[in-house]
Amino acid sequence: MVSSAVLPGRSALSQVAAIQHPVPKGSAGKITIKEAPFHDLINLRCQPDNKMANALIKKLTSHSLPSANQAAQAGDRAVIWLGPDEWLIMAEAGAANTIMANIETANLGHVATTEVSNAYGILTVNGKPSRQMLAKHCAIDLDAGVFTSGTAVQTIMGHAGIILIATDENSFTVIGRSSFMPYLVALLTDASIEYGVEYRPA
Amino acid sequence: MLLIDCPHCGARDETEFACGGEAHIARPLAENTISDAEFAEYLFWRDNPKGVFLERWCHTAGCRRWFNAARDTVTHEFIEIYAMGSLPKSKAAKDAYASAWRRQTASEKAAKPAQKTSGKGAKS
Amino acid sequence: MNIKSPKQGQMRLSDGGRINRKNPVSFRFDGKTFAGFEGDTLASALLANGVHLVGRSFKYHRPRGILTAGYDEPNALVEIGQGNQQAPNIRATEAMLYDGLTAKSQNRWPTLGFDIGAVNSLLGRFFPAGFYYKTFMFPAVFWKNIYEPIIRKAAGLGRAAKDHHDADRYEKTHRHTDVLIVGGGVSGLMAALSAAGSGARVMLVDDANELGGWMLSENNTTIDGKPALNWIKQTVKALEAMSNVTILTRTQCFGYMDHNFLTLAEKVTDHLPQRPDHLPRQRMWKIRAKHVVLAQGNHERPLIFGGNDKPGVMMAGAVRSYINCYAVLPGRRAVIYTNNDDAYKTALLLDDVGVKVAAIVDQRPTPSSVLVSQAMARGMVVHTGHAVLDANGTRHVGTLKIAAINPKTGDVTGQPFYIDADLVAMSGGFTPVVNLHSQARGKITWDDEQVCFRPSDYHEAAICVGACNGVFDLKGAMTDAAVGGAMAAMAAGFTAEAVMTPAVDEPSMVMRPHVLWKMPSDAVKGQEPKAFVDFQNDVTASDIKLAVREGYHSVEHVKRYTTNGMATDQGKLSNINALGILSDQLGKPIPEVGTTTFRYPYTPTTFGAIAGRDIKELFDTERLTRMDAWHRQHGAEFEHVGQWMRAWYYPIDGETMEEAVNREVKKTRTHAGILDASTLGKIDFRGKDAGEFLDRLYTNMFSTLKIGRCRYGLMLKDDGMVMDDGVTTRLGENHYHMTTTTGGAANVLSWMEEWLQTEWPELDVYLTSVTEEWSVTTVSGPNARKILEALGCSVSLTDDAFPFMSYQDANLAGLPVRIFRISFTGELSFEINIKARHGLALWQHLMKAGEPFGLTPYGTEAMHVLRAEKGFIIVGQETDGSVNPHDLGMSWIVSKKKSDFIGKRALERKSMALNNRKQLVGIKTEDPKAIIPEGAHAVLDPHQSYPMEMLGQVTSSYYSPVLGHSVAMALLKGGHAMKGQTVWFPMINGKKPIKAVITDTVFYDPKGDRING
Ligand SMILES: [Zn+2]
Repeated sequence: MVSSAVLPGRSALSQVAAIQHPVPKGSAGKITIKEAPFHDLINLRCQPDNKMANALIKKLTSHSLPSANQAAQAGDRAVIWLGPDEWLIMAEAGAANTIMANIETANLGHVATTEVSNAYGILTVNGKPSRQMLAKHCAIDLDAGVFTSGTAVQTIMGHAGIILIATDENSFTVIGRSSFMPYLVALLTDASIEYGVEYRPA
Repeated sequence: MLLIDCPHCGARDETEFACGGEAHIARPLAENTISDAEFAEYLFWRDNPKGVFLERWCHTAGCRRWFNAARDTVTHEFIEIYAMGSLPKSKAAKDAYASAWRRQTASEKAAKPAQKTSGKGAKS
Repeated sequence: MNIKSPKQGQMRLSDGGRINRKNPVSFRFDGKTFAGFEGDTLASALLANGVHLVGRSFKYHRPRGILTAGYDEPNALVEIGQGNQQAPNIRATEAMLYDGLTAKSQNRWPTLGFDIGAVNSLLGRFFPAGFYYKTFMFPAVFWKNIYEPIIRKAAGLGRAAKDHHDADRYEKTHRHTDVLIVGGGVSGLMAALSAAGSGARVMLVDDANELGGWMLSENNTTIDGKPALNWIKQTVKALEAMSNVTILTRTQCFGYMDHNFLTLAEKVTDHLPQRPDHLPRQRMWKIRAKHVVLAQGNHERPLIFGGNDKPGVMMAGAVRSYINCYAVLPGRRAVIYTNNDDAYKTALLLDDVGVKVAAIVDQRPTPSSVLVSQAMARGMVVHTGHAVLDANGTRHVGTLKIAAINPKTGDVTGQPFYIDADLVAMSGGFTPVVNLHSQARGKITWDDEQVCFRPSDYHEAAICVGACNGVFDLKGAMTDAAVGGAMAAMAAGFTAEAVMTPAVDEPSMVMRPHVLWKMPSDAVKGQEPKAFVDFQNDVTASDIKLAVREGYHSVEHVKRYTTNGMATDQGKLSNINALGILSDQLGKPIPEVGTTTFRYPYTPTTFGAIAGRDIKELFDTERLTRMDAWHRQHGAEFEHVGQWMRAWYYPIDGETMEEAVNREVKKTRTHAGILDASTLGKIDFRGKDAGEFLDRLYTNMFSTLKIGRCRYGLMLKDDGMVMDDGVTTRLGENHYHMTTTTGGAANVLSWMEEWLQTEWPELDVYLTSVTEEWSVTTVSGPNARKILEALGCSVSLTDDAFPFMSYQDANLAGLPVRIFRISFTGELSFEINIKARHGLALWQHLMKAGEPFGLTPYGTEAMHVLRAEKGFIIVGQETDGSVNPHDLGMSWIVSKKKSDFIGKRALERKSMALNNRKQLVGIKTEDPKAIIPEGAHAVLDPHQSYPMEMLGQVTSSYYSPVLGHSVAMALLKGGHAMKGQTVWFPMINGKKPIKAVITDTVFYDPKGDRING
């Protein structure tokens, strides 16, 4: 089957236009929200103690399967913990088929991969008050000393389920189901009015 | 709002979870013949104790995993959180398990295969 | 200011206070312009201008003044702001003054000075406790049409903004902290120092504009040898400098829920003359704390005497606040009425600032302390063992009636005498603020020594410190708080040490109030003057006595019967006095009388803050498919299906819905239709036991399904009732693709996970939702094949190469797709799944290729008609959780071979196959144009008497433009055996019953020939 990356197609947020709110006096810093479209995403199901699978994932992504609430994200490919036997592999566009074929043909036992590149949208959130802003609609402890870089959780943002990853002190990746992405952009830009915000479509 | 300690993700707000009701209800196998009344013990009858209650929770907005919990329905204290398919270890929860009327029912006995010696039902 | 500033009020002292005299502001109250200073509250500014009368009471419309200086204020509730920014029930004692503030008094009509409702006061004896219960009992129609409108008009506290559109922005936010300290007085500050020193994350919140609590109102206390204010300033500065400390002022903690979840309301811009657009007016904080320190201090209790609600009667502590914090004199000639030493501080301060203290009336027979001696030494007249019997004056207190009493019984023993005063500073003792502690299910215990309830057992991880814990002396409170703060940090997992309590010098005094719950009065029994216990709800001492006489002895009953403590102030001032009176009447000590529960919210909170941004377009999510933009461009009307927005129908050239749907249905049957079916739930099944698992889930067999084939399945709950349906396809040996209904997608996935994880963990199956991975477009109708071929399809679409109920991977218009040959219309039909990012592109290609073939987009309404013509059910429409497969005439789908599946045992119950169950049938009306409303009930004889014997109800009903008559399905008792019989559907509103005949459910193409085109 031909890779879904044959044509760029339309991203989860292609119907949402740029949004801007000015930076008011006394703002703690401007928030920048961008769509990061067309990464390939693979849902990986595997028992955590499957050594062969772990070794193969390491070979394919340069990351060992991360433990609970963690994302291994250095380099081009990232692996995000979703549950005790579930991870999300994030790779460059077009890479999914090869990675999946490698895993599926390796005879690893009870392991499964499913491509979900289209099922999710990805946002990056940057800016000094990012944590404060995200905390308006998220009940997770986002304190910089607790939700450190590399922390990844599945949780709720407003009324939508999301995967939230801290990429550094002031930067986050927000992954949501495609159909919820316009809502998430509306929610997060609204929460950023206090600081000033720019949403840039891909 | 309760704070529930998901065994995989850690403590999260109650809004991330769904409560699955009473735990340790063994499903009678269709191969075992039991009466409608006995089947109703499995299908309809649920405990609603004041005090320690063994119940199932699912971290629906997080890891989507099910787990068991012993919760005091009066104080809302989570006495113990333990894996699906296992039995509680704390005394209060063990007592609650042992003293449940359900342990003696025909429907629970019918959850074991008629011929085979052991069955692996997580709820039991 | 460019307008001429009005003159500052005549009751303002020339210096002192914590106001900013450099910034005078003007404000309006009831249409009059006044002057005040930045740093004033509305209450202090009004008092500075000699305005005491600020409102009318709730029931009797009595003139009311300013009683307190804080959030415990029951009387001085005003409306602030104008137009859609108008907010009712703002406590004037909390509202920070700003230039241009506009306030109005409440509960008065037409004016504050002359209020018609005040006649209620003259009719007072007709408004006793339980009045509403007694008077407005029946008849019911009177209640709705007469009583309620009157009560609504006469009662109620304030009015909401007229256009019901709150222009302000409100937000919510979450915060986790190790230690939350509620109350920023000296105790809160001490606790914060101890806790913060450990490195724990500390939040310190206080309702007032600045930290310091009651100590800001005191003038005769030193800490560390310096005025207490210096210590406060220094401590606040130290805390502010710590990165692990968050301080919130103008923030009230109003809720304390399970597992240390607390809610705070922060007034972010309420105090600003211009509220910036980018900031919320208020922000609700949802706090999860590891440990909580409650340092909320105490509330001073009023004394109960006739006319104790008159403007000019104030709490003794509040008088000190107005003088020390705001440099305002609340009167010129004062009487102190007390049962403890604390009010003597007020007497001395009044004397200091030149207010004549006409007398100190002390209930205690022999008070003896430094403070008492100081007052006497200054020549003040102290009437020990005396009580105020009554306060006279129409709109302001004028004369007090005083007499000697028996301090034990409260009986008047001496000849009453009169003293003129325009200010009564009263103190009836102190109540630790146990409200939040109690809300969190903490226990309280009666302290007979201090005559108050104080915290005993904790339910949550919390500690009460200082006055809040019943420790009233400053040094003791500070030490208690320092230890409490350290304990809280330790409980939160930190190594902490209590900070040293600095040297404290404050007047030594006896805080213990004299215990006298009976109201001293020389009036004839039954004609005592009105003495208020609950000022906000206008509950008098007599009301409580009456309730007891009428048999209400439980404190909970008395509360509800008299409404004591049920106003928005939640009885902050009244609870103990009410309990005292009740205990006196019942002859039982207070601990035996018990106390009521303090409920959420501790203080009134705006709905705006509770709603936050969950309004308008952010109220709920709307899920959009990838083809959404196309539907909108082509004029589609939408309907909500769960959270999804689905194209409902596509009207052209002003078509009505009926016309559009008829056209879409016909065109699909004659040519071809195209439907956006992307919202269907889709689940990927992986693992060696996938087939076995499906066998257990569905009533029919899936493990035997050949690779590349599709099968329709019915899913039951274990009670044997239909739960969901859909088509499942075998993609590979251990790989299946399941579709579910749009609305059931999330449920079905959780349901299956539940079985996998909790009942059959031995099965190797992984489930992944792929609903949004694929966009789904259905092309249906006799021309469907031609359209796909015209677009260039990489696989043969003939019946032989691509039979009904099969699946193939293919390329269509050069795009990789999965094609399923399944049909929900009864026509030749292809369901094309494509990676969602190409969903719109494929849709557009299909529309173009389909144009010569008459391809028409159809919405969900036409989809319903098409499937109803074929008798296809929709789970949730034909079923309601009480319908089993036999009822649907689908016994064929229930496997007899399988040893088990979910619902099998329940289906074996005899009652599940009874002939008199409601069974699905078709309904054909005699009049082809008549469309029976869905939900209509069927009867055999429309002329029978009520209640009619009903057979069941219509589940689906549409007009079929292809057949030229309406088609309907219904669940009727014993319906399967009734085919050919006539039934009637009685209508409401005098319409004639609809006559119909019971038929088979398949109306169109019963042989199914059209499925192959
Ligand atoms: Zn979890």
